[in-house]
Amino acid sequence: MTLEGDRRSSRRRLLAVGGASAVCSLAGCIGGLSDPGDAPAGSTETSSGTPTTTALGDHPAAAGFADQTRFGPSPGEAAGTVVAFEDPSCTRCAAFERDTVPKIRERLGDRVTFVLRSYPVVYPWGEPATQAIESAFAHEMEALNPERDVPADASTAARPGFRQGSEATWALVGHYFEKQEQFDTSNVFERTRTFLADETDLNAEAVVADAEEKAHDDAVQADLAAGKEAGVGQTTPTVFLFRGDEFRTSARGSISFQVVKAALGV
Amino acid sequence: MGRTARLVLGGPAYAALAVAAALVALSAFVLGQNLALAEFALTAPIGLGDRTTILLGLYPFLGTNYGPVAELLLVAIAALAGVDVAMVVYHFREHGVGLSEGDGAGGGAAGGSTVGLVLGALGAGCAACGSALLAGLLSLFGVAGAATLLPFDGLEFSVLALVALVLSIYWVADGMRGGEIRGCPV
Repeated sequence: MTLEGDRRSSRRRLLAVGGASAVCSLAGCIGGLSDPGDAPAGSTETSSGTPTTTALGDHPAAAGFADQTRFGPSPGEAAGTVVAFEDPSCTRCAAFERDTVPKIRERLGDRVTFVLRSYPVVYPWGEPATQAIESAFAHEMEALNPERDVPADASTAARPGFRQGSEATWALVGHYFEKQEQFDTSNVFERTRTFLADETDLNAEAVVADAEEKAHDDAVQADLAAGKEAGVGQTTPTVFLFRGDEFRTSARGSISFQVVKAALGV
Repeated sequence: MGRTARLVLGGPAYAALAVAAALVALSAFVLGQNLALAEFALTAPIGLGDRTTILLGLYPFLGTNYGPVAELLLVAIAALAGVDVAMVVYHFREHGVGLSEGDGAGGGAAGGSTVGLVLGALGAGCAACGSALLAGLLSLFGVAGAATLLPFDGLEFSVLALVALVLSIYWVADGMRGGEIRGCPV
């Protein structure tokens, strides 16, 4: 082979190696962060490499989290906090709710606060479903009997079974995830009305009427704004994990209970 | 195509390369979907057990991030990418051809393989994150939202990637025809 041939061969090999590296890099990056604006806030390192942390109260994902649908100890009093952005129409969110969330509630319910934030970005029926969730939650909180429903102390709040919005909102959320394949934009309100009337104590007509009129759209927009600010982008579920007051990391997809537990260190 | 691939992978070095490339590709796919979590697992002051749990939990069949079909597609795409890389490297090393179209049929095949790998990578990424990525890609062409009309949550794109990788391997194998592979005329 001539010298020119050697040079060409080397160049080809360089191109091949470079191409393979580019492919791997591309595969690794395309799904995670589609643009710089999608970078999850509160990350433990800045682009300059300077370590930073974001406290629970200051993290955009947790903005107003005390007013959200949740279970576990009162906000800020738990060893760990999980803030999950989920879309009722998202199939991987359904898997997360089916496989991971019940284990968090059963095994860590006394130590971890789980906060659900509705984030409709996948299929169109997720948006009206989210309006219905927020409407049901508002009606449920309105009907709350402080004597009966509000825990008297932290130990009661930490009881694994205690859930804010436990009577109807969680049931409705579970219904959407369990029956996803039966929903579309044309029947979501009708099916919601039937479910609430049959399975909960809420005034189904009033809840659905509010949802149709987007009476609680401010709550929906608050979740969307929090998710956008936190870098959720278009990926659900996206989960933000806090240990005590400190942000630890975020995760995309239906991560397992073991991953949540290991990341929280609880 | 199958015979050529078997002959190439019959060499222990190329078989090892294929496995390594497949593992690298799979790791890039799954860790890339969760960069923040992967970075946390690798750098945070946590125990080795927790570190391992988090990292392994992101892989198909070991964790819960993917549905059964997506898991199969991810592994298949990674495996085919490994085979593709091994065959391309074999082609480069043994037959002395490159990426340039001007190098004739063999060079064209290798170039096609690169395209196949890129498409495969895109498809694997899509299998991992579902319709969100596909919607993003389609938005480049002004049809954002079209992905939500697809019935399989973006897995369609992964199937296309699988087809692209098979075609890629076919082209490489075709480019090897007329030569010898490990002493065997193909």
